[in-house]
Amino acid sequence: MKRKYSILLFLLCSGNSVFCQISHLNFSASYVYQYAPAWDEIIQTYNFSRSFNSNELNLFINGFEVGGAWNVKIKSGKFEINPGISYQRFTTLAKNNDLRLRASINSYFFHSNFIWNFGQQKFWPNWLSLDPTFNLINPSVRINKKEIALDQTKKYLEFGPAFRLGLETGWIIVDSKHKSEWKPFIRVDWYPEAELFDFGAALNGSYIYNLKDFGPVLQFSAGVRYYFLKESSVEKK
Amino acid sequence: MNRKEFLRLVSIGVPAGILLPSFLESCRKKELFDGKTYGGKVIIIGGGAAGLYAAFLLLKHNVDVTIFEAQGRYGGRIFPLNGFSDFPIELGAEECHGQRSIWYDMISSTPGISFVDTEVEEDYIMIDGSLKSLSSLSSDPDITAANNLSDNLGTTNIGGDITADQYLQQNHYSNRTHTYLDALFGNEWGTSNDRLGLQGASDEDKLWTSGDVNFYLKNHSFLSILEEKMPEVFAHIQLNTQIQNIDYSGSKIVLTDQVNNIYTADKIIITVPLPILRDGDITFVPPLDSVRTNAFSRIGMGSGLKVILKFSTRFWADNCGSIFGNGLVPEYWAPGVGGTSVENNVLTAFVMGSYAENLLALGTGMVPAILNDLDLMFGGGVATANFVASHRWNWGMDAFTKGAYSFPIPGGSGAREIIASSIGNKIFFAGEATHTAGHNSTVHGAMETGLRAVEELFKSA
Repeated sequence: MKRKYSILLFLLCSGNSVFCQISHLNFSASYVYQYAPAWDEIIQTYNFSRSFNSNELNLFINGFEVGGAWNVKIKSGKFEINPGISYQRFTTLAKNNDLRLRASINSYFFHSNFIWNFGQQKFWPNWLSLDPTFNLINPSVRINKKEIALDQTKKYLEFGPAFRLGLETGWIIVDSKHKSEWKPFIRVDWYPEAELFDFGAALNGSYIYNLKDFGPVLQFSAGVRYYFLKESSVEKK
Repeated sequence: MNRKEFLRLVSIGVPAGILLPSFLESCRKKELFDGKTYGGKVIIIGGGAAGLYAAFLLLKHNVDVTIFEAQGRYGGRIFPLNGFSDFPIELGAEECHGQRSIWYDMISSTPGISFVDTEVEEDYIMIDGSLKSLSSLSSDPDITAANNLSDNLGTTNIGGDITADQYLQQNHYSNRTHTYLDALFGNEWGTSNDRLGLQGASDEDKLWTSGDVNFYLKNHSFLSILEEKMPEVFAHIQLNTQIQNIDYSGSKIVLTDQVNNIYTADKIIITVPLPILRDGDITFVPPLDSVRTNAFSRIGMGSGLKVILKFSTRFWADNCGSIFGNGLVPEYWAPGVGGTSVENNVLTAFVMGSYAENLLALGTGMVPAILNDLDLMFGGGVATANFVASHRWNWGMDAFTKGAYSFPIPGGSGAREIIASSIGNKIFFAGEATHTAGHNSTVHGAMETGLRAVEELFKSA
């Protein structure tokens, strides 16, 4: 599985480098809604087994993602690629007397993001992107701010490789001086299978529950991407 | 783009972004069983940690549940001795093993409870004729070899399904540390090295996920935690009710106790200690299959003894944790270290397996022999001269427990999985011996099996 993802990462990176021309930088920030039944069950098992607690852990539903990318236009102007990196976090905290338990998922993404600008519509989204993304997922469980290790041989929970496919659309808003560009966007991401290595055991404290650390994940995002435009790119508009 | 256009875009985009997540949210389970309950009658046999915890979870989901406990008390192998000193002394489970468990979470979420970390204590060992601190022997090759095996048991290639004694002999471990090795392995696992299956112990160690630090409670008993955190459970316990027959041939399960009272249930959870099932103290109609009854005998559980000794003065170091003996008693420890006791002059002799049987064979000579053992370690007849009282508890002689806690024996691979499996979605098994992921022999392991049984019950409903 790891090898498959490594090959995919290589292809994405090499593909991007072929297209590399002049580029400009952009940053993005988005709210992320997540639907991951397998991961829900890990947290729900924790809450069920700790029915004596007054405060529960929330599910990993609401998170955020921030990132940066280089936007590269292809000659026709209709197509762009937007290779970049981003960071996503979901976290939940339950404090019960002296027990302060935080569970988190930290993900690091390596985007490809192929963009198609398909029109000048004012009211409907005017671009669409397909974003095959390689990512590393790192679950974390902390008790009283101390990272939990499963045993003496595993200092922290492992990073796990995964792959997600994103579909994104939105609008282009150019400022009056044409020095920057805003792209509000909405996005849907699908992971065929994403794994949080040993997260179920680390959070619940045992392998006995036969919890699935992996499963499909669906995410919806709404955010904005800010472009620092260069003169040349402004003139082309 | 002007403001009006922007607002129109937002009016289209925001509903689109909200609609699908809202739909998914309505599909999402809000909790593990999503408000599901079970309308039938559930009986739990055994009022130890597994049974109490299973009942607690069922009651949280409004299930009609009753616990039948054979003894006149609840708690099973959580059993405090009150009044012997000015703090409760645990005759059964005494340490909370690791930080990653239901049990640790339950304790630490209880107001007013403090832990004592055993790592801060200094351990001592009787070796080469004198008592030395273990830290002073950090460069001793025999001690190092023993500690390395203990620390890395889960990753050690045992080389066969053999006892700990056989492994130690084959690998030429020194006789200087013979009793220390028994304390680290056999005694720790609830037996002695001549009986402990080291391959099984290694396999279980690999699955351990609770962490390596052990904790005592400062001035509270384990039972007081259960009582504080699960008060609703205790009204549902029927004490002095020894279930002797279980007839599951019909649609209802019919249970018969020692005075022929009849009870019926739709589902039952059996949490009794392994020897009760192994020795046929409960009969089943129809009888259990031979695979299961054979599995009962492929897990060890036997003699286990705690002898609590009270002295008029404290002749061991204030920070003393364990004292590893030289042949008679593999391990002593000082309970209550770190607590607020003012008359904490108590030592516990913790003796399992063949060591326990050898001590028990001494009869009334047991306590004098232990005092003599301590006199040899500390010198000057100090233990005998300051001895005040003793209290001994032999779990092997307890009629409804018949042993200390379960341990792996050669040939036992897969046995726990067999005894943990349910019968016909009607009979579920819990208790520390049924733990299949390395936490057997612990309180939190017992609780985890209680949770597993409740999950199985709900899923079968």
